[in-house]
Amino acid sequence: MKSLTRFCLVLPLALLIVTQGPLQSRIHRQRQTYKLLPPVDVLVLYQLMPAEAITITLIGTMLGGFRGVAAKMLWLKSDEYWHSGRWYSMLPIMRTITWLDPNFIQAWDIAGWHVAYNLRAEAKTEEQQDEYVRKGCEILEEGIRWNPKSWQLLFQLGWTHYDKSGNLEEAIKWFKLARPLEDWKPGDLPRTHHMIAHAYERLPDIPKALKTWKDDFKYPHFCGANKGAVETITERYVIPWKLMEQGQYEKAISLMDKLLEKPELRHSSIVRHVLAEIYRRMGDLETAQAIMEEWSKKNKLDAGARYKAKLWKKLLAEQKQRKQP
Amino acid sequence: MRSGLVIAMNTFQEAIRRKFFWVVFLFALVAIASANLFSGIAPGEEKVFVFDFGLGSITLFGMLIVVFLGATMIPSEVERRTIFTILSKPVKRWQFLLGKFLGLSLTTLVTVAAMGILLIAVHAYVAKGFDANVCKAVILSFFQLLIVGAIALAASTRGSLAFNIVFAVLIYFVGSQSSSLLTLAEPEKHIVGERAQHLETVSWKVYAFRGVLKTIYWFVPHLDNFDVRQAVVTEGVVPWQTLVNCILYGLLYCLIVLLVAILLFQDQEF
Repeated sequence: MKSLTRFCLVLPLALLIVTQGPLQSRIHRQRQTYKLLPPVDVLVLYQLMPAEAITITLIGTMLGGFRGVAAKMLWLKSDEYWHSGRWYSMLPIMRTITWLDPNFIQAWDIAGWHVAYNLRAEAKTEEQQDEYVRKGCEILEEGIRWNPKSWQLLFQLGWTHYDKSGNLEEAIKWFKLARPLEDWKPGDLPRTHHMIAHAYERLPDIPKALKTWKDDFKYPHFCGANKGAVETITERYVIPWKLMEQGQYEKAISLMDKLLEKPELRHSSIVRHVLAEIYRRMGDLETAQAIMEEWSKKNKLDAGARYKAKLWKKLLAEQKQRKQP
Repeated sequence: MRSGLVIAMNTFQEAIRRKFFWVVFLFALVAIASANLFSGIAPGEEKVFVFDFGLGSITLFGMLIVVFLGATMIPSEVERRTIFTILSKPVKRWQFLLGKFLGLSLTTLVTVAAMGILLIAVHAYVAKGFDANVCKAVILSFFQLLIVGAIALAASTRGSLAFNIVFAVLIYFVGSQSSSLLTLAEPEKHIVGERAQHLETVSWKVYAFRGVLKTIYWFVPHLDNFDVRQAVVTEGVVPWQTLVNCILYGLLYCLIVLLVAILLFQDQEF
């Protein structure tokens, strides 16, 4: 080839190679802005599972557009394991599914529930149980990072905190994030909104619980359950709560004790939570902790009581240690 | 230029006469049409499954067609000795190559268009509505395949059939993960938290490795630009500006590869 011809080919080639750089940068920025980048990044994977990151990335590349399909096929496999009782074998498959298709909401939802509920039930000690609940919540949080607009995952995480870990503040936080995303239609029960109210009742934060139930009246979906809740809370808890806030603890405790004597409230969870809170604010953490510990033994379903009993036990131990010379 | 167009039409007609082409093409159409039958394994996510399965089929089978046709273009002409006849005519080598590329592009266009229309129809049936993002994804997959075809054609000017196919497929895989190459080459921009502490203790070998990765990144086609699955799955938007930029990138890269092919082909002796 003549050198002139070669030059006429090489020069535009060099110019085109240089031009594609800024164009690529512009495309990359736009893909970032409009969230078109694939959710699985090799270094994000590395931070999650360093030993497998490169291998998984290569397998994902080879699968190409069939990653989502492969995830669904593995989902069938995990279902097979579920029905045959191989619960621990489900975990690596679910992990692989969530990597192959991080937008597969159900996989995150079921994986988090499976760890926090089913594997927790298999645990031998309380520490193991708490560990499984914590891991289940971590899985759901990771799923939310990939799918921040998923009501299903946000609600499930809030529910797991409410029902299993007992950390009601966390439960409220996730329920509040889920609330605007709920696919609500007229006539439906506003589940998320009601769960926030229930969580406030047990936190307890009576004014916020009351406000949440009352807020529901403003919306056209008002279902009537709110009216009952507002009446009950006003009748039973508003006065003791106000007395507590005014520092009249003895009067507040006396009112709560009278409520506990009523047969229909003998097994009431909220009464005990409010009573414990009054003692706590009074400075008597020991009595508050004892109330929650006793109640958590009687009612194993009240995760909030169990959580508070453990937390306050730990605080008391720390206080005792500080007092020792 | 007219001779280039004649070569293009001839290449297209030759391509669609091949049995291999029809076997793969028809199989792809059957796979896409039956996507809805398998969507039952993903309850609640049927339209995402249909999209994944359909677009995956277009990419996979489209790549098979494009790589095989592109990789065999020049070697088959050499094998049949028809290349001597063609080049002895007043046809410049670059016209011959351009004609081959245009023929391959036309074949890819017809293939992707047929598969794409079927996918859009099946997806619209499952989703009970037309999704413009699916249409944009099909258009982008055409340009993605065009780049791979251009690379296969460029490789075929010098390499053997086996080498051409392996090379084109390898470039496809590396190009599909080009953003990962950049992430590995510049981890300080991506690693946060505890693991960031380890970045300070890297050796010169790691720096050299990152340099190699970055070099590879600059030269491989960034095929993941054409992946807009996230928009379909999350019901987001693929802006027209991004679409146009990706198309421009595709055409630009094809031009780069063609110039390289012409440079390689000009001095080739038969």
